Amino acid sequence: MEIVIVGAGKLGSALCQDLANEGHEIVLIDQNQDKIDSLVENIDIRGVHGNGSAIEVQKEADVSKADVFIAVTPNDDTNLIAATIANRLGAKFTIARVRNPEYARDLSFYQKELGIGMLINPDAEAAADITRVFDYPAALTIEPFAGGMVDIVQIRVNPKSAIIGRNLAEIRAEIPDLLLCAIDRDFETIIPKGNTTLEEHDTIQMVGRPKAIHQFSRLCGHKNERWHTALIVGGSRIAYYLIPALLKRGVRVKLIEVKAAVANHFAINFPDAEVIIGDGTDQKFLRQMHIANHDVAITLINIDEENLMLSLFAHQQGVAKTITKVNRRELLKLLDQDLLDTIITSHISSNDRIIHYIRSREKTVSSNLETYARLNSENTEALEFIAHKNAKICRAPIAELKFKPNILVAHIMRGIRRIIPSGADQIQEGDRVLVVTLGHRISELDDILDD
Amino acid sequence: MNFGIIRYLLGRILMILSGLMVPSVVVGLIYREPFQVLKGFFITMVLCLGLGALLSRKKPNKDDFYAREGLILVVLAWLTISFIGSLPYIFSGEVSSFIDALFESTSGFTTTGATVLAIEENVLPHSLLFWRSFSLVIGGMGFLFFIISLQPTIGPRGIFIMRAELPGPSFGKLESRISKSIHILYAIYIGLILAVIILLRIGKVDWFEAILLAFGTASTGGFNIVPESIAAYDSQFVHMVIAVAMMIFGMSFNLIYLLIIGKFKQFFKSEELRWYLGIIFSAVLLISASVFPLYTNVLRMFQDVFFTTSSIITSTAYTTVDIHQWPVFAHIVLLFLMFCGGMSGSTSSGLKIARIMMFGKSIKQELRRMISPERAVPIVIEGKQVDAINQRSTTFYIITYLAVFLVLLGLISIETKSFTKSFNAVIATLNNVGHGADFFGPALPYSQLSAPTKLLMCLAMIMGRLEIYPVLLLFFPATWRKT
Repeated sequence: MEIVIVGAGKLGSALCQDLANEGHEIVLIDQNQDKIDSLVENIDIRGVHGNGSAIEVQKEADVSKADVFIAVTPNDDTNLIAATIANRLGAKFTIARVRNPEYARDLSFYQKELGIGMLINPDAEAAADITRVFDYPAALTIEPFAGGMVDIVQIRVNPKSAIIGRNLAEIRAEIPDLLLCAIDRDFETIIPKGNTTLEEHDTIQMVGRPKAIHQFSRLCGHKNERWHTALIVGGSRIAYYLIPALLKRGVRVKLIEVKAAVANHFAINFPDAEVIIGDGTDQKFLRQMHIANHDVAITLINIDEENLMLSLFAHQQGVAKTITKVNRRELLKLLDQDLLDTIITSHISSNDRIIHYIRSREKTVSSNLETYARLNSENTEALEFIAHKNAKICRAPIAELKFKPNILVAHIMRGIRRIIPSGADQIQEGDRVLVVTLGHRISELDDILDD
Repeated sequence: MNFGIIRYLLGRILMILSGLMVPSVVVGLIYREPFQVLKGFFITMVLCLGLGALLSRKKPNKDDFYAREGLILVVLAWLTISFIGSLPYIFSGEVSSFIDALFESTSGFTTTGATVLAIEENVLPHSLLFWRSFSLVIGGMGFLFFIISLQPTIGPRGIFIMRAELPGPSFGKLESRISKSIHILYAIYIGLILAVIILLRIGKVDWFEAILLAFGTASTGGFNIVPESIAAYDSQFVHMVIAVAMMIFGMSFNLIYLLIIGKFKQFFKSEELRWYLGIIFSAVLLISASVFPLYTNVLRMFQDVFFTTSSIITSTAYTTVDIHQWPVFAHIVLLFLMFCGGMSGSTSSGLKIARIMMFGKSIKQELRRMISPERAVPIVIEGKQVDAINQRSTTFYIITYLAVFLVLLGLISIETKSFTKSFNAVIATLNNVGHGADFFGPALPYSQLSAPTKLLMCLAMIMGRLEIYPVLLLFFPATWRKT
């Protein structure tokens, strides 16, 4: 497909990389020639220098022929105007990023009246990701599927826990409602088989009923306490979306923000949250704020390094859970993974949504791509399809089908019935099928079969 | 200070005031009152017209009209109309003492509803009874900004008048043009009065009394027609109509407008309204708990308690029951309600719910700040931050109010020599409550007080109605400086 992207920021660059890898033709528009140059050198894309909301520039980028137009500059107004113009010039589908909460409220109006096909709000999505963690205290990340009916949950195996050394077949026998789909071990991802044994420091992606997941997380050495108090450092836009969601769940929220005007703004909008004016990067100040008395520390400052250091400090002070916002995930490789809990990267969810959308627009015969998520920054993907009548995969039970390597059918949703599949199950028409793949590019359900 | 325009406007006010006496004359004619009574109105009307024409004969050379002119005009106008309003009582020969007439007139315009006349039935002829209650209506909403809105040259700046005259710390314009907003407010006021009259008629109250009661209810002034007040009407329907009407007139007229045009969501969004209803609800519960042993009929108890709560919080002071019999706890709750008053932008008196709300929030803010000094603790009303100036002026108003209260208490006690009597008198006048406040002890027959004390009480009533500061400004030298 032909895709035009405006804005070579974090999200724009990540989209260029991912969509080019998927084989699309990308044109990137940005006002900064240097940024374009450095991306064009590394990725197979075309660059256009100029203002993305100028008609001339859009014409130069052949927007009229574009299948998808994506506006992700740092400026909401520019994005909205650029997407509207692109729509009028003939782009088949337009996507705009909108971050200002005042704009984000009226999504349907922009969609209907301005012809913008999709609005993405990375901060709101990151806040939703963080909020989900409160459902599974042991989880590092949670990806919802089947409209929130099923989650893929990531849990770390704690040192010296009971699960170490046991293999998947044994675990399946003990907890039948649970399927382990991927294991991250020493920066490598494996799709496990029945004889794979678990080791300490593994992080495991799994699908299952909440009860089964809680049972498993206990075996991994986690106490399943609910979090009641959260300390948020940094009054960012994510905090703006996160605080009301947490308050609604009955979590007591304390926010530390260094700028008095920003802190005041939060205090006005969220009278139930405790907003403190102070430097959240000052360890003495944090101790004075009783950081140790909080269940969860969430660091949302704009500097990745500060966030990481703060989370380490929170751990050292005895905070049970840390959630750290990191924009440059490569930083994580420098640190001992055990020291960090949940990592949030605000543009990843948005990136996934766009990739999901583009893949689902490709021609599909046997299935519709319903949901798409990457389970880590590597190439493990979870995809949810609805099986069509003539899908080859429906012809035989799972045990008799021949799959490509490193592919797993993780969950089947049949009506309201949830099935953790075993070899004897057979996929039927209309099922929502959740597939975990490693190193493949799947855009329809039959792609997982080895022809 | 632009004295020219104040003189000119005072003249116009006098002329309009003479027009406002016409309905009373009509009432007098309907009841075939002797010329002796009606003569009082005629003399006053001629005097008003003559003086008014003289004052407004020459147009002012400048039409500068700002906050200072607005405040001074308001005070002078209120003093003037209180004086002029007393003349029909005297010229008709019905009230012999000038001070008594002045007291009666001031009590009317300030919506206090206290009286120095002996409280036997029908001490006054119908025309004067009507005039007394009609002055409540004129004073209830504030009449000046209406008159101002008719002056094309300074109409838009009538906002200064509106701010000084409409009770309460805050007001909002309903429409972008002030004159249109004012006309809407008046339309609501008159419409509601008519509605109350019709409902009372349905409750089989006779025409004249229905009109007088509606006037007393709408202005939250509450002159009693008979000494037993509303208890004289043995109809639960009438009691409830008046109780609910009083509660409605304690609400901001802007809110009533929202209700009329069907914006219910915005109506219930008002934080002041929620406080108002919350205070009424809690007071009803608290008082009911304390008077429970006195009643055998629980429904009857709730009716009486609701009526009294609604009557006292709006400073109307109609009664359906002898509150003296109630326990002290109930009296203390009522005392709190008296200080609360209704919402800002209503006809009621007292501190106003908006100020109570702001004060309550300030206390909470102070406590929070003490626990964690680093915490951001803005005062938020309806999702918006209250700025420091507003917050400070509210606090200062409450302190000033208490100080004025104490000074008046001291001055009145010189004559009465009794704490409860002085307290009753001050609260009745400064809070514009009237006779309902007499439950703290034996009622004080105001008629026996000396002239200086009565004058002081008149001043207290005007201070209460205009929210103190405009009256204090009168004694503040800088107000009168030329620049």
